[in-house]
Amino acid sequence: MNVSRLCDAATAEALALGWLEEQLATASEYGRERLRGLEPFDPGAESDAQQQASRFVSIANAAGPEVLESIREALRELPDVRGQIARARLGEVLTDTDFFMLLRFCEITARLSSLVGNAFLDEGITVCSEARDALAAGKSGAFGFYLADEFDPTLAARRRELQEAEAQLERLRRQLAERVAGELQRAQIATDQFIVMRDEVHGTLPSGVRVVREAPTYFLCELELDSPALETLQQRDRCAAAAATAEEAVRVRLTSAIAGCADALELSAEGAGRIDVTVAAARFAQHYRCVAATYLREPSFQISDGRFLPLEHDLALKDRSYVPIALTLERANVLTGPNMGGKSAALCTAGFIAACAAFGLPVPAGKASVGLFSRICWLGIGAEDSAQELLSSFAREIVRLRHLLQEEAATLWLIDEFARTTAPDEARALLLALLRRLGEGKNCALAATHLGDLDGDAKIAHFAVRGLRGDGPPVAAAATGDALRALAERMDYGIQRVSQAQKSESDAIELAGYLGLDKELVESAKEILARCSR
Amino acid sequence: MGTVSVGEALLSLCDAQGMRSIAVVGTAKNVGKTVVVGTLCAALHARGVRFGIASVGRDGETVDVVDTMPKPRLRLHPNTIAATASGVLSPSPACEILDVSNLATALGPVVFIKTMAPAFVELAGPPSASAVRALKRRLFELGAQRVIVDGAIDRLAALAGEPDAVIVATGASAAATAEAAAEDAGALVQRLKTPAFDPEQPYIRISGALDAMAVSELIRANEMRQVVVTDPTRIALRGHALIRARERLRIACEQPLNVVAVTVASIGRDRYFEPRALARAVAVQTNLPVFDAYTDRLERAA
Repeated sequence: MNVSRLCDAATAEALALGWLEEQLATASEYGRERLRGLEPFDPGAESDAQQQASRFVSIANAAGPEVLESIREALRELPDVRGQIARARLGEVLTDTDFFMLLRFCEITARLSSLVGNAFLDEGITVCSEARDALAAGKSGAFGFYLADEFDPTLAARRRELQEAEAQLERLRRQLAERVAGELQRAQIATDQFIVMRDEVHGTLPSGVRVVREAPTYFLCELELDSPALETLQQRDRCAAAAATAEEAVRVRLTSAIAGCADALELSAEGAGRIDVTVAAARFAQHYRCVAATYLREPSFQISDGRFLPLEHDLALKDRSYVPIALTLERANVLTGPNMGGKSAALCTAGFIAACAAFGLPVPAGKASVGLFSRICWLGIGAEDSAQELLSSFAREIVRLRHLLQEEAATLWLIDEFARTTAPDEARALLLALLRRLGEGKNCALAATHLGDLDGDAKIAHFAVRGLRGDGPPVAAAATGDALRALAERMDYGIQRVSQAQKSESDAIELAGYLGLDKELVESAKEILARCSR
Repeated sequence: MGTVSVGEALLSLCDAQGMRSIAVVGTAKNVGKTVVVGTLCAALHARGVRFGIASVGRDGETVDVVDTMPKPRLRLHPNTIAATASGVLSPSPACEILDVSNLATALGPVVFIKTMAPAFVELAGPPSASAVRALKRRLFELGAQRVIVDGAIDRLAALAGEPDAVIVATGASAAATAEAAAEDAGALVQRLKTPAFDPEQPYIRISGALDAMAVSELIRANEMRQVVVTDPTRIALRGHALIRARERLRIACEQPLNVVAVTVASIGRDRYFEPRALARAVAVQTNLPVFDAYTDRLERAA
């Protein structure tokens, strides 16, 4: 997926788009390449994106998981033959291994063609019957390929001649070896070179034995072919050369046939890549209960039961559940709420769903109406540029913002605790100014913050996490894992529109105590807060 | 007659152990490994057994890739299944291509072939243990009743824990004198025949190699438990150090090797040894049956 066209590396990391790519892993090399080249839809291409996402979802709904898995199984077996096609086009004579792979490719694409029909995929795959027919005579056993005699009568004749010459030579060699072994009183002569001990030779060595090396106690010998055997050897070599020439002639002919249908084979390969990506997206939709978003022509964002899948996945591993959220954004939006109330997760949910929608993928939500954004930008916690380590946190944030503001594309801005490291009054002013700017043009911005009194602008919509239910945090648990689980049960992660930005109720001191911070320190903080409030 | 069919005799030894696969490992280059593999192939062919052959690394080439000197070639009969890298597959005579694996070598992916006519075949396989196991498994799946693995001593770890009969090949290229070659072979066999550990008895497991420093410390600590390594190739001791370590420690392994015989080649690249003297010395040092494929003789320690 060409994620970099949609967002920078810091944003992709914050939204865990690498995780998304892993979930969309394809089964074949063709699919991997197609997925790598997958581009986000630009604003204006809403109907194309809509069509693609709806298609993925309808396939996910119509085809059972086992049907999709059978297609993937076939795709996994599909050999990558693009190199062979290219080499054939350039006139390089292909090898038998190449023909094996091409024949297998043709047979598996034929199998894929029928599987695709069963899975209600509207796109077919071209089966290159010309290539399959050209190689068919070489099919042996379940999958094998052999440059069979059936390809060419000349090849068959040359092989017969070679076989006869080979048998004749073998007969003469065996006769010689058996005679020598008998005269030397050995079980056999099994190796090209053999050793005869001097004290075992009575008289001279048998005829047909050539001494390669003499040593004080032995002779190193070889069998010496006589004139008829040498003539047969020459004949065998001539026949072997003729058979090799005939074999190569068949390879040249088959290569030419492959080159002739290279376009059709490439179409098959492209089709396999398309199917692979489609099946991967449909499986994703099935597995994560995704829907097709409704694409809007304006930069807006509305979801119900939206989920940030990477977090949901991590929580599930710890046997904890994820609470889906609903969110309806206007151009400029502020989200407030307590610590650990899911403000950052809400930003991630919005970004993740927007990214899925941008690529025309099903989105993890009960329902979603979204616009297409040219860019998604994450600003704040988690997006500091480590290349600017000599700058302060605030400076790094500002430098990043300056860069991001230079582009005037339709952008979804996700702002997490902007200017948190400076004085609250000035931070508030900066955030308000930024939101006013982003509220203009083709942007949609959601800023999570603890800063209060942000209701100075009617164009900014205010949202708040509902926060802790009842009487605050539960009694502190000894283990952090248990504490987090109990806290999650008391937390209402729901997001509600509020008439004006409320003074931030972060519950920070209560939560610090709950998470095990020194009791005396917590009490002291409470007293200070009470004094300040008075 | 006093001579034997070396290939058939080696097969009989493996049969007696119930081993379906046989690994031939050389103590050095040019110690007659390919010749021994050739005699095994001929014996299996004579028995009418369909077999498969693979290599850990590269074998059967016509010239030594290091010194470019001619080497004995591996000639396979028709209907033999072999695993080799696609890059070394000879175009003629054509073989049947049975499968193309995902196992990569520097010479291309490993291809499974079946010879359709007598053919000289160069074998090249992957060096990793898991890949060699996968090759063997696939050869059996493709119909081989027996499998021969042509290996090298430095890649022996690939065979650890496998139900292979191991045949060690040594010869004149392995050492300067016959005595030294025999001593080296004896030490190697002793190392490879490290027994399996007894999990019922106390033991200490050594992760990685058991080297001289580790042995010294264990002896100093008067270690009485079994000292357990993963497989015999993890024992990084030779000659006297190994003998002394065995005297003082109970060295055992998790994945033993099953060494059944030794072969000798008295003809080396640079030197020749007296064949009977070499075979006798190796038999004494290894206490295993010793075969000489060039003289077709079997030597046993008295």
